[in-house]
Amino acid sequence: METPERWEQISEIAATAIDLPAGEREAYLAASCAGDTELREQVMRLVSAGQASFVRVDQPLVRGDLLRRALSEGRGLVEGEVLGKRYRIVRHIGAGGMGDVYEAWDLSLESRVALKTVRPEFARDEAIVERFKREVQLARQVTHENVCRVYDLGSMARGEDGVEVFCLTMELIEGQTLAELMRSHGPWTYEEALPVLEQVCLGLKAAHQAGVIHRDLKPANIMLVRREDAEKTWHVVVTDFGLAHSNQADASSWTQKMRPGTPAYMAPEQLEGKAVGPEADLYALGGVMYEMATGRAPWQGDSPLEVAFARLKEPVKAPSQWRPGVDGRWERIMLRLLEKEPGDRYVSAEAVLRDLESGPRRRMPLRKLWRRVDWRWAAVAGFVVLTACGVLYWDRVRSKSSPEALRWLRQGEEAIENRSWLTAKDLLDRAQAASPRNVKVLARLAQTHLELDQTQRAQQVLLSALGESGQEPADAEFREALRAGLVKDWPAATAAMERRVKLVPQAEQSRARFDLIWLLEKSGKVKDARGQLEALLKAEPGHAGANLGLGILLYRDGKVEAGEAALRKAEESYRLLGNAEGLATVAVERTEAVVGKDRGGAAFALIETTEKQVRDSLSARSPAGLYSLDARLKVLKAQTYSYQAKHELALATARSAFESGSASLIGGGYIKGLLALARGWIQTEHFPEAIEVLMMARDHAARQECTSCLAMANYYHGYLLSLQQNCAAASEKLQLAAAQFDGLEDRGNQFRARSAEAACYRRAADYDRAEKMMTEIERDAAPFAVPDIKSTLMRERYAMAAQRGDRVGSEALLVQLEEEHRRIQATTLWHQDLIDHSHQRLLSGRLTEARESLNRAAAQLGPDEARLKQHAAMVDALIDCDMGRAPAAQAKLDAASKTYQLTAKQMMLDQSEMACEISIEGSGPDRIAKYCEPIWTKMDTHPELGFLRILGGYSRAHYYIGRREPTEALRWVDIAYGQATKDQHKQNELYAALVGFEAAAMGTDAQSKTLWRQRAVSARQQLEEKLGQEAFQVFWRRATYSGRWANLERTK
Amino acid sequence: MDSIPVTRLLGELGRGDETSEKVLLDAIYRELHRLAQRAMRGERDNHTLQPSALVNEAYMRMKSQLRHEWQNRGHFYAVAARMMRQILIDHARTRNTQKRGTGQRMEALRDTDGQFSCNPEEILGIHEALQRLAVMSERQAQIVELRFFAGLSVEETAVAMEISEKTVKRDWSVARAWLAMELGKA
Repeated sequence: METPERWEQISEIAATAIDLPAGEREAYLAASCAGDTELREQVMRLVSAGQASFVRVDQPLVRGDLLRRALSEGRGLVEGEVLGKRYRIVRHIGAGGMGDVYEAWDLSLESRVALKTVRPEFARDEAIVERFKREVQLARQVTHENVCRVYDLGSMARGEDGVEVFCLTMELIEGQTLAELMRSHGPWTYEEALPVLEQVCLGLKAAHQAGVIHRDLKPANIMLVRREDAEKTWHVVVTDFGLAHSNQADASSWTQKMRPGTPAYMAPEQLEGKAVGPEADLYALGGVMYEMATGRAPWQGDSPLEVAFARLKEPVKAPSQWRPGVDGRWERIMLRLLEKEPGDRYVSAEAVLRDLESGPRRRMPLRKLWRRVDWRWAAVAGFVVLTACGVLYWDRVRSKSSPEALRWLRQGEEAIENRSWLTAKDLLDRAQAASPRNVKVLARLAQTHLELDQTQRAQQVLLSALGESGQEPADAEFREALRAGLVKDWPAATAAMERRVKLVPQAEQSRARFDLIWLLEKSGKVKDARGQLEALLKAEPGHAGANLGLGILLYRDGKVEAGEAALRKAEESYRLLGNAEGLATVAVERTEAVVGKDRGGAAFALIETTEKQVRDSLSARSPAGLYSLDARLKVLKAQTYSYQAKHELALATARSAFESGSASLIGGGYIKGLLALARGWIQTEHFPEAIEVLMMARDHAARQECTSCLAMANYYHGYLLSLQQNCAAASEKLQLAAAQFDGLEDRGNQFRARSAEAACYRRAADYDRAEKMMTEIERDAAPFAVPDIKSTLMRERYAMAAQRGDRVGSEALLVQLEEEHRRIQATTLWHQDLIDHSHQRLLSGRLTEARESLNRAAAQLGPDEARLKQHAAMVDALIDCDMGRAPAAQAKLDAASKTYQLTAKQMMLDQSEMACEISIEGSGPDRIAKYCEPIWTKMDTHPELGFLRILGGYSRAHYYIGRREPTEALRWVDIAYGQATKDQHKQNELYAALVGFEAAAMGTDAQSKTLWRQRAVSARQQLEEKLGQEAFQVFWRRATYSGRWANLERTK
Repeated sequence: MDSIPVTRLLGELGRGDETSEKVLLDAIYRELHRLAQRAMRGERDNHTLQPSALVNEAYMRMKSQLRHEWQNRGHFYAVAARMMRQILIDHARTRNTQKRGTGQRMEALRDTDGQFSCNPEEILGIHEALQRLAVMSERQAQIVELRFFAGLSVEETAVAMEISEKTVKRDWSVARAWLAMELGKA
């Protein structure tokens, strides 16, 4: 097997050599291999193998024509196939929105025709077919050289299987569409355009006289055929009269699923669904001219929706603004054609033609100021092209709403108020299926998609709502609010929603206000939303949805008690109403809040209870809602597991959260699952995996526009970097996350992110900076009363004191911390404090006290606090070490790692530190290596981590002492000693010196022995001074120090 | 190649509603597997798997069930080749296991018109050799994949991979020579 680079080299030479005549090969190889005999041999072997006359791969496993055939059959009709015993398919020409277009041979009339198929999904609908037929009947009456002739229409049997295909035959025109030509042509001059436009006008005139309106005139429907005359002029044919299918290749077409007409050219009255006359075609003609002259459509926008709205609201810009050289007369013609009011346009195609040919005869009427279109009031029928095949479908049929649809709509609206968005979507989907064109249903559906971050879908639905009839002013405002919301124009959206509140009848007041609140919250105006909720509740104290919303907002803002009170009220209402889903939602919200501050056994039990409640209450009703709530709970569960050091369970749960989340396709739900997964990886110190998952989460978050997910991903990433002591990169990420959380008014996470930054500085021993940062956080957090920020900071301060070896300070802080955790009922954290406290006592030498308090703490631990149990067992063993009971300590270490089935490698860093420390005492090098290995690896990969240099340094020294290699031992202890002096950590300095002496004593270098003895003596003296006599005496009870000191005394 | 990322490949195809397309293609893929299994159990073709029938069915479905055009012909071929490779390999494997289990003579893959036959061991051998080749040159491996598993011509391969015909020819001659050596070893 070669490396890719080497193989490329071999391939290059061999490919040429194989093709060369045998006689020339030698010389070529000699030249190209340039003395590399191995290369030459390899190439030779390949060349000779290549001479084989047959290699198995020469004969394909499948024949290529199968694929080609499949590809063409897939298109539908096959070349040579005869349809309805009359049309033989010659070739496939293209695909359109409604079906495909073929060239066919009419066997009975012996002529070539174009044959258009209509997709079964359209052909099945009798109403469509009927209408289609009528249109074609009309279109057939137009006989004009500039209009494409329509011949025949109907279902035709396909040869073999008798399947019917609905199709339409028409004149076959071989040429280019104007759309194609425009792409390669660039802007047209008046003179160039005139011959084309004249013929389009003639075609339109003929059609209009026959009573046929095109309705979808656009460049793709104008065919140009080169005439074989001297000037090679164009013959122009307008196609698809009255058919209004959309061409897929058209840039302005909608997504694949919903094919609209071509909003870029549609007249305003057509968009509004009013009756359409010849003027609509003239408007489209104006659009075509505009694009020919300027190279751009009269209205632009990011989406058909925007384009459509733009036309209704804004006047068109004069073509000369885009292209200064545009012929003035032509420009006036265009602008007149593009008048918003049909009556202000030309009266006929013929009139346009006259003006085109001889310049405007009459003065143009003064262009009125473009009246701001009050499209909200427009009675609308059209534009539902989206839902089917074009104009055919959007007759002036009024939408009739079935009673079921109205019932589902009502239930859907209720679900929205109760934040059960997925259930709402389910219900509204059902409503839409029953009444596809009910404006209210469509608007609500759009709102739901918007909430679920399915913006594309929201746009589609909204666009179809635009064309529907029966719009009340309030509905139009709602739609406007959604439209503005879609493009994140929050002020406009809010304004529309506010107008709507004033427009709706009394009975719908509270719902309308609720929608306003939804919008405020969505746009990040949480405070306003809360104010509105409170006002709403003043009028209707029992409003369940409002209480739920208020509860959530309060909780999020750190106002736990008020939040809980609101949730309880919501719960009460839901119970009265018998709304199980509402109850489940409250339970999930509460669980989220509780677990947010306590990850202990109680939290876990709560999650399990809620999980059960969710399953019981929802299984019968809405699977989507179930999944979304379930996913949220699983995320919480994963977080809790990871706090309990059940990392594998955490990972597995996070995975299923992701799956549950993606099954429900809730906006952001599965991303939160991914984030939980990332967190699991981070906490198990699987950093590359974590980064990969985080990248994925960020990618999805960006795509789903889930800001909170994005902020979370940045937070985790920064946290990860801070664990790796990459403070510069970490702070960049964490600051970004904090700013994003700030924008979301998510105070808890905002301050957590900043605390993580402070922790990074602290771990890097940049204490001043860490302290400054914490003071800032304290100051900024003060007005918000975030539940756990106080304890987070306290814990950080404690960690700092402990890291600096400030026993008194750290103990004092621990006492406060214990109190705070007990107060906020953060049980697991409180237990952790108790064990830490015992550890601190041990470090001060209060061994008996340490053991007693440890026993008390251990008695508190719940059955699922495995990580803490292990932690306690380690501290217990450490106490034994200092009591001089090394064998007992070793036995406890082994037992602990066995009981919790953790080898040193799987332990979290703090635990492997303790394990390493224990293993040093009274055991051989093998044991030391077994338990200290992870510390050593980390020490090597993170030389900047001071505390690892100390522990790693002296544990390695112990290892080499055990192996009787004093030189190596001294080398390592020197590192530990150096770091301790640098940190001015007297205790560590003394310990390292004692170990140093032990190593030196083993060697023969008397000078080194003296040096280390002096260091030990001096460190002891300084520590004594620092602690004071009394405390020092207590400290000196620690056998790990005093035992080694005695050793030093003995060898005097 | 236990998990050729067919779904990924297909996912990349999507214009429009990607999710539904993926779901659809997954469904087609499962359906093909079912067909192939049925064929193998002898319910239909008396223990003879007919690759062309299978391919035909595969592409018919892929094409007819997708409402819109493939991005381009080349992309269609690339996906088809990958899908066929996976299906045929899966079947060759199953057959291999069956053979070992029952001691029966191994069934050859044979097209009804007798144009070719290929036994499962041979296919697996080629497949595994291609995996090794892919480590050295992914492009060469893909060229062989398109030509052998999908029957593409040099020109079609060039179009499918968006590379020149000359490159296809050169790579093919080297890959072919290498495969001759590799397959000869066994």
